[in-house]
Amino acid sequence: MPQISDKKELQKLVSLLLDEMISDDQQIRLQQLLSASKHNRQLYLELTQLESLLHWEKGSADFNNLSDEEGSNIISFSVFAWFGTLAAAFVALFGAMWLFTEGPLNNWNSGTNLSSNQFAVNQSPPGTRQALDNLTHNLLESKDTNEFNLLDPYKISATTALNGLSTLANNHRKSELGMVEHHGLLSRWNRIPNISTPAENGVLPYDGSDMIALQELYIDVDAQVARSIDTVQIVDVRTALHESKNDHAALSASAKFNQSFGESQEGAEFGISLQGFRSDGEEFIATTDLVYANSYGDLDVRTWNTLDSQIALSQDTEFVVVSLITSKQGPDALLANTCRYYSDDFQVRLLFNGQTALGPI
Amino acid sequence: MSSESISFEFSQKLVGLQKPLYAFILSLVHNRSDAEDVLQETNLILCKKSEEYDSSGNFQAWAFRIARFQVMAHLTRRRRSKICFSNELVDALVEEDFDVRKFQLMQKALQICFQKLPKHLKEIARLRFKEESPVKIISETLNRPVGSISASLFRIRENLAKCVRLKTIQIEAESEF
Repeated sequence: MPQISDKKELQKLVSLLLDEMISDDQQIRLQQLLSASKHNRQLYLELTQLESLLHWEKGSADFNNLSDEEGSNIISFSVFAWFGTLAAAFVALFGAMWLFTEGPLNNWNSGTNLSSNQFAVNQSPPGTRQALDNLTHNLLESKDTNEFNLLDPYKISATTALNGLSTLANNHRKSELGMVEHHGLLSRWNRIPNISTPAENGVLPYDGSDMIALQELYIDVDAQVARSIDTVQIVDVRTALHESKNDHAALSASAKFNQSFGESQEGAEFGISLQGFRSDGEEFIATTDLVYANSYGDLDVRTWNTLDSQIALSQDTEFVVVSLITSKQGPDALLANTCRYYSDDFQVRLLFNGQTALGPI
Repeated sequence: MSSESISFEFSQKLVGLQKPLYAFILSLVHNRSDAEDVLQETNLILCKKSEEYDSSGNFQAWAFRIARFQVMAHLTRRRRSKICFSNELVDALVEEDFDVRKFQLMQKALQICFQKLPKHLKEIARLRFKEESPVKIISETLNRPVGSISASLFRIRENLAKCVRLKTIQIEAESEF
């Protein structure tokens, strides 16, 4: 019998061969494996027979029935299908506010608001990472039903965002989770120093000695979805927009992403979400739709994937919440946390009439 | 040769053997369009030689033998420019039994197993196997790295092979019961 490692290697080489992506060296190795063992040849023939069935008349497998998952005893997508529709536009961060406000989920985009009164979260003891862990713990403990497990990262990020928004709105210098920094006409509540780490797990920072260690992904086993949302900064644009009068204002954010080695077979999906808010008493009202940009990372720890996102700001916008999202779908999501995920070189810019006016900071 | 010269029995056998023949050819030439070309050439030769076929003989063995000659001719023509196995390896692969009944069970099992693929992998499978898109095009379509698509295709094949193996046994057991 072929060894397990040989079998896996053979399957990978055959897959590359069938996709016409095999290198000369790999082809030589494939020939060696096939020449060495009858079992290997039989496995090869089995794989090519399967391939022929997949191609033959395109009718042996039901490609058109992509949405019908009924009858599957292995993978249930009832939640995933529901989520997928929303995820396409990325309901993301503040979709979770449905859990905390009276608005329905499908109205989240324009009607999102954040109210500290509606949270009952223990925000002590101080110490940012510990505080976030406590928040996470408390929120996860309070999950309502299994269907809502998927939204738990949103609860966490929304709580974090509320903490930052309240800090800025009340003109405080710091909170349990982040510090306020001033850069001319821009201020920001910044969590990045508190969630940064030196090189670890084979990943070196892109620049400098630290990088952002993104949270572990929250895995929904039934839905085969894994996701984390790190609200990293909230930019206070009140003074800048006041000074700019009627200029068309926009905020851009960029970051680089990477992941460590692990059991995971595929690169994660990384994203940046941006949304504008204004304060209204103890609530924060969304002033813009949420903007989400994403890309897929690779498995090479030496390379960083760059991502940019930009949001147009309405004149009543006071704060812009910036979050970094990591997600995986399908069976590989179950292995998501055998890898760690990182971001670096995070920058924001304020633009007026398409030109950078402030930043990068 | 005219179509009248081919018996109904012969044409039925030939039609019934198309999928196994394609699978056999694909295992030796690796490339779908090449395999389709060789299958067409093989069918042509089989039809031309239909009068030589002894109806009491093993049609599958006869057809596979001819397919093998066509594959070897094709490989000889393409050897300089295409990925090829050595003659010895091709001979060794040809020597392996091709179990048509098992192949038919695989086909039934695949229909069940395909439905169990996660949706995002089904989309990649659709692009690769139905649309016949090269990996690079799929990568551009889905805005994902080529390596990631290649890894997904490996996982699709691995998952399907595992599932088909189990389902084939199950279907066989049920049919015997």
